[in-house]
Amino acid sequence: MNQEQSMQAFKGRITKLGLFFTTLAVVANFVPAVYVSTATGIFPSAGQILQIWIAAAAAFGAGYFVQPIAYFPMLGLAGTFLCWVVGSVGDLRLPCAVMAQKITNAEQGTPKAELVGTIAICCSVVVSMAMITFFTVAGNAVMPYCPKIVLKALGFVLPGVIGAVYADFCSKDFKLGIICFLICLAGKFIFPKIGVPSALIMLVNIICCILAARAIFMTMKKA
Amino acid sequence: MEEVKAIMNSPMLWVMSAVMIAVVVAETVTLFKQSWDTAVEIGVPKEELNAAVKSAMFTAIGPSLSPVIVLLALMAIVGAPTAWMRMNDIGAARTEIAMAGIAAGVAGSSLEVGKLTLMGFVFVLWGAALNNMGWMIVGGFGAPLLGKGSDYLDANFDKTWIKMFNAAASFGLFGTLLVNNIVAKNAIKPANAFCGAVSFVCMSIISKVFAKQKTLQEFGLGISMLIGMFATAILF
Repeated sequence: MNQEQSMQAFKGRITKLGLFFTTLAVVANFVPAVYVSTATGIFPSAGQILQIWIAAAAAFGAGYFVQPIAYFPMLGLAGTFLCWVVGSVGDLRLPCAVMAQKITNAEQGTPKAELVGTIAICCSVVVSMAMITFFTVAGNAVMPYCPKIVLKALGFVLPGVIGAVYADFCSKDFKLGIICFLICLAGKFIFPKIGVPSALIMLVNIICCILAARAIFMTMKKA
Repeated sequence: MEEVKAIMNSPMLWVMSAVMIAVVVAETVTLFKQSWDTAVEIGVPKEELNAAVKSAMFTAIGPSLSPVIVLLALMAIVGAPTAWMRMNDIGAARTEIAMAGIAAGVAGSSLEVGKLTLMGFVFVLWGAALNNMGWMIVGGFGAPLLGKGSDYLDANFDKTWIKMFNAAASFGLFGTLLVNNIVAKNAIKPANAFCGAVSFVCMSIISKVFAKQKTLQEFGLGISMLIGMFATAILF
């Protein structure tokens, strides 16, 4: 069997396996939610599910499409199947794949690169899963003995993490970051007054930010 | 509150959360074997494959450690089984926390310690599943089609604009969450505003001033978050 035939056969098998495992993952995804709802008797209504889903899609929907498309050339077919179930693509899986390809002199886009990259991603899953499991168990054991100040501090997790994340994005485009923050701040006060339903405010904010970015981009192009 | 904590950390929830872990392990092992066997078949030397394995495992250590601080924060909010499952599947720690906040909001609850109701927790679980499903469907079921999507984007859109588009979408999302945490009922919440500002400043300093320190960069998010949280807990 020559290389091309091997890769064709590989792609055929991987496609079937990938679709199979993705189906399992989507089901497994809902298992805890269904269990807890069944155990407590609290099921979100169809309307509430839709509300949650719209909120999720408004917040993260662009990413569902842009990220898999953008990373596909670097991950290949097998890598893609695995990465969008296991996550941490940009900061963990991709660097591991790239390093392994470098070490084996595999040129991007070649069959060798795809196979070596996939092997690397699988190895990274072993490491990350071991670490997360270790720290979950260790953290769980230590948590009941935490001093009160720690518990008080944990009440500020959300502003803490989001402030830091926002700064991280701003380090790449400070001007756009400040403009978008002002848009969101204005939106908080103005949109409810002009009748925008609160569930949609995030989506409207995102659209306004994209329009602002477009205006900046067009000004950049003219300059 | 005790009822919520009990179910959040219940043995049965560990079992239910482990189902996803099992799927990830099975897929990883299967794809590893397929890739390895095919690589051998097309003539890649075993020494090179071994080198790839070693380098991948070593490279994975740093980036695996950096979300640990946020993992511990997530554990405090939603319990260990859910944090364990969600950190091992799609969705970065910040995405999971953000989504949990959004879902709890729909239930009329909040992620603040001691305030998450049972209904809030149920909604957090459904929210995480609905959100993560997006990436699984497009990246998983859509994988065979993504090559065409990639070619289409490259052919029709300016790369700089795509970057700006993504940046604007992220700013809009996290900006809204930040404002929602800082402002309530047309008044600013001083403690939250202080916390957000401190962690913003810390992260900015770490990114700019210590740009060359790779380890500090990896842990920057966790460190900034902790400084913001503890400074606020001490001063307010």
